[in-house]
Amino acid sequence: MGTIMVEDKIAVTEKYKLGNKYHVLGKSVPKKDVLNKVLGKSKFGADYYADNMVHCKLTRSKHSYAILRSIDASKALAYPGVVTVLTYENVPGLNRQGELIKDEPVLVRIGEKIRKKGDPIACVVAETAKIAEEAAKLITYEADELQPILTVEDALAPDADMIYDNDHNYFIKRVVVHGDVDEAFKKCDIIVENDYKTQIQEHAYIEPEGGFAVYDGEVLTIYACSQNVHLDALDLAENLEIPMNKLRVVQSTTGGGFGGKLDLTVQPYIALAAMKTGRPAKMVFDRKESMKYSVKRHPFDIHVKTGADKTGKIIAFDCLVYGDSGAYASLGPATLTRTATQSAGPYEIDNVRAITYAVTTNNPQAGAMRGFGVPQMAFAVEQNLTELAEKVGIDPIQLRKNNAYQVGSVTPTGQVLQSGVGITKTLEAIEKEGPKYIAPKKEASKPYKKRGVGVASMWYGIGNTGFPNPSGAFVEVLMDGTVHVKIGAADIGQGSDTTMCQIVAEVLGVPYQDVRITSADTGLTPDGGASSASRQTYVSGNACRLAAESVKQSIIRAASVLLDADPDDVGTENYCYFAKSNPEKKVTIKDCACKCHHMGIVPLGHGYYNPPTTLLNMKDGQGIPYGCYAYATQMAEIEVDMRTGHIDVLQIVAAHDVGTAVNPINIEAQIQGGCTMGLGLGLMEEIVIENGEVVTPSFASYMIPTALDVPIYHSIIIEEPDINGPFGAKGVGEPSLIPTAAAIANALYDATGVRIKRLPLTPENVLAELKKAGKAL
Amino acid sequence: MGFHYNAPASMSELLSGIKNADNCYFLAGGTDLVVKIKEGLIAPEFVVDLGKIKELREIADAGLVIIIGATVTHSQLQKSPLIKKYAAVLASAAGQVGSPQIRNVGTVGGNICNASPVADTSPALLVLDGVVEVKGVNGNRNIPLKDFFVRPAVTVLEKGEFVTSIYIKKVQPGEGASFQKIGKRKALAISVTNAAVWLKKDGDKIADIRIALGAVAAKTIRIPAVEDQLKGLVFDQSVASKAGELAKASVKPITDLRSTADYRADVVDVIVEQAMCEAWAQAKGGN
Ligand SMILES: Cc1cc2nc3c(=O)[nH]c(=O)nc-3n(C[C@H](O)[C@H](O)[C@H](O)COP(=O)(O)OP(=O)(O)OC[C@H]3O[C@@H](n4cnc5c(N)ncnc54)[C@H](O)[C@@H]3O)c2cc1C
Repeated sequence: MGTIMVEDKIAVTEKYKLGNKYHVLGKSVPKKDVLNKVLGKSKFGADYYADNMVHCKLTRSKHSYAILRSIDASKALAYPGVVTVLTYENVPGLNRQGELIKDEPVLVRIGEKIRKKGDPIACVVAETAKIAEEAAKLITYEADELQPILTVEDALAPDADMIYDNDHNYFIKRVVVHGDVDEAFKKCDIIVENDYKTQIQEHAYIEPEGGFAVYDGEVLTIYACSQNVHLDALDLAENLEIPMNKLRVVQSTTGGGFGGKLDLTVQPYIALAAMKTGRPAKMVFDRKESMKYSVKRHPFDIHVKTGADKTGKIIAFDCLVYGDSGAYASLGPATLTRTATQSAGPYEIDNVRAITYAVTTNNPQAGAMRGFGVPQMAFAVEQNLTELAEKVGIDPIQLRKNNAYQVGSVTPTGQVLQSGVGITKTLEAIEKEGPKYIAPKKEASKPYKKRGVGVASMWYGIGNTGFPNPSGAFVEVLMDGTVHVKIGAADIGQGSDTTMCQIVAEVLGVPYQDVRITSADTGLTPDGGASSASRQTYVSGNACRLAAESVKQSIIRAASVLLDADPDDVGTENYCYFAKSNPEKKVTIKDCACKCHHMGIVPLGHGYYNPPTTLLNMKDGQGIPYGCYAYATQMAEIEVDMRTGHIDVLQIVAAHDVGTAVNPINIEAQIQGGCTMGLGLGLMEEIVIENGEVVTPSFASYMIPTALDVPIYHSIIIEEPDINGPFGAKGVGEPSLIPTAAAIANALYDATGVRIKRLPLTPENVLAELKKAGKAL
Repeated sequence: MGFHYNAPASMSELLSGIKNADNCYFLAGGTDLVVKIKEGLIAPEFVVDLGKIKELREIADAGLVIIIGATVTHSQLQKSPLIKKYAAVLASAAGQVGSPQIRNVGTVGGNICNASPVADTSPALLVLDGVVEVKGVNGNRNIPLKDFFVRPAVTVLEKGEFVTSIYIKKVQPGEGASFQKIGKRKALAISVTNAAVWLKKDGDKIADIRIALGAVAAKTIRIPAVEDQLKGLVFDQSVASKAGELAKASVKPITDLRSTADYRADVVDVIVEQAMCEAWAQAKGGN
């Protein structure tokens, strides 16, 4: 089996013609986590077990908006097998959690507001999960009902009730202004102005939230799925009132996150239960609970106006965006901030204005989801651009090329792009390679179908927007020459463990197999920040590079003694260190590590990296939001059934500039997975909310693409290295999803002449629009 | 919470042990029943598993008719040479149920007894003039499938009655049948609407026709008034499209989470027309 993977890796590496410079970087080495996963050995939150463990289950509010008056847990406490019931009185600390704003109660206090359906009222701790579930139904509460605010319009109405103690119902308003937009529009020959609407999307990770906590009287250890254990620990410490050095948060194997496992989920409850009972505590959400109460992708209302001169040079861009962020901030402010900075797309436009709101309502909260607002904007902006190209009378790819960022371009936040600007290369790749797969003109397969081809592009800032977001790493070379890396970054399936080991192996000149990694364990690893914002290859990758370079100094010192050479003279090749002046003589890293110890040196390195960002000015959004950007262009081929409105996506060609491809097959996997998620966003996925409640909380009612719905993908990897990236690498996790829905929408227009401005493009939606345009058969 | 579970090994054991209780459910593949129990939609007191009774799992050739045991799975139907040869429309419908996993355990008896208006085998069985054979504490009876459904989750079965088999008529030379389904994606999709058409040709005329529609009413229905208007007409594309329009005019679908009333009405038209054309092509081919 191992050999098959090694052979595959070579095939894929050759397919992309990448990575010849390096011994392990750029090679599709097998992922570190893969064997345990296929053998079923990986331990997910739900797999933890102890004989004496207790099980937790929440009683959640039935109200969307109310003031809690009393809780009656007497029946639950009397239920056989119930160990205890936790309420707000058992939360020793802040009782407010949240990644950015501490606004979400661990357990709602009496006298305080319930702000959404499903707010946690009490937590039953019982001998079995079944008992906990039954007893949780027996807990009742009284509350004074308030009139819930369930739409953006109602939330922003002048006389609206304030959901928080505030003078407005939004978590953030962001403004980015660059140039003079109003003046510029006066000079435009062509203006395209439209309203777009996008839906709520569910992350649909394969693993529902689960975790396990153990308290030994001094240290509380939590094993749970997570995208950021260090921030979890901070949030937990404040709520549990225990010092962070007595709290160990370990990421259990995580079956996908996509932004949905940045927020705390089960952790506070298992922590409280373990501390209260002194027994290990476990909690696992079932799919329904997960789908109802986890954060979601923001639905957007987008107004966008694009103006150009008659040659198609874009002169002005204006957008106003409302995202329904629901009852708690979660990562809503981050989402709408990124939306504002990136809304205009990868195009140099001298006059840009973007105003965005993360609106507070009593709906389920929206938070981080793959792309942080950028996919929604791509759906709108990339359709506007294609419409613009048509009005100008030029090819949509040409229009994009004419306006694409170059090195030296200034972005809407005033940042001058220094390096790694690959947008033009992705457009050229699609222009050249696209037609090899997707014939420009071809008949549809059936008389009642129409065929169309669409293109969309994107840019994506790697890392958190306009905030310091450092990551650290430790690298130790052990006495036998093997290497142990410790990083905070959580591998949630995307492959960061693998990437980091490749980077360290490359720097140290050791075989990939000799590098082992421990990640995302606050008891052992340094802070790595979140596995979100496509940032770990770039940020933690740099930390690993720096840590490896630092330990390499020690190794080289030892090598120079062993080789009797000057340290500057020491080189590395074929897993050996040698003197460049006398290349015959070689020593291994094992020799060097032993020598280090004889010399009284522990070959231990650490490093951390923070992207070169600045805070953004609140007034006009000026500043440096990101250290580097990834770019992409995708082309979609579809057929539409003009009788039923069904869209069949046949092929997608996806060209992604990733900086340097650390692991091509892993990148290809990200592209395929991202496109599939983007296809779901484009065609079928939609969380429906009625009266503040998710009414599509299962995979029977929430449709995601099946294997049969997935088209043929052709991935093209473009390497436009960034000067700051580790070996030039940037990121690809979110970019892969961003243009897909937009490309499909543009293909739909190409096929039918009908532009649909509301996602998803379900058969119902498409047929209704085709009928309106008189085009349905 | 719990229930009594019993898995009789033979028909006689089943009949002797049968519960005449309100709260007794028969278990076939469990793909509907178990979901409903788990969701708390039903709380059976007794569950009688039909899985061990061999004769319920067989497909038999009985001359002009085929006898399909109640616990024959969708996969069996999909693969059976007998069904493929004489009732391809049913093989096709069964092949479009859920996913391979669901088809491997879900049964045809469960599909009809669950009485969902979206069930995929129901339209095919209806146009093959299906008759349901029922056994119970009070003896046996045969019920034409068109009289079997009452409303969602309710059939005419009485307490202690269960389905042993379904009889369908073979599709003969000069006859053709087709099943069409609209779902929200290409696999694992509950029908937004579905339809089946069986017809018999006489020269270039439609000598006889049966049309069944799913997901446009509280149960899977036949539309005899429309069928009557089509009998005797010379088949061509315009007749097929007229059939679609008549079918559309004869139903009043609803809006629910899965789709809208408008959409359902729009596509009933399309699938009936398509099914008619395919059925005709098959009838012609068989001549
Ligand atoms: C993921 C999934 C996808 C699905 N997709 C589809 C689909 O695409 N199309 C479709 O039509 N259905 C679909 N279904 C529904 C279901 O699989 C079918 O209806 C199936 O045929 C039910 O058969 P079963 O043997 O599992 O029935 P069971 O669940 O065992 O029984 C269903 C009901 O019928 C009763 N019953 C069963 N057998 C008898 C009998 N012999 N006599 C009297 N009563 C009986 C039971 O008591 C119960 O009330 C899907 C279900 C799931 C879970």
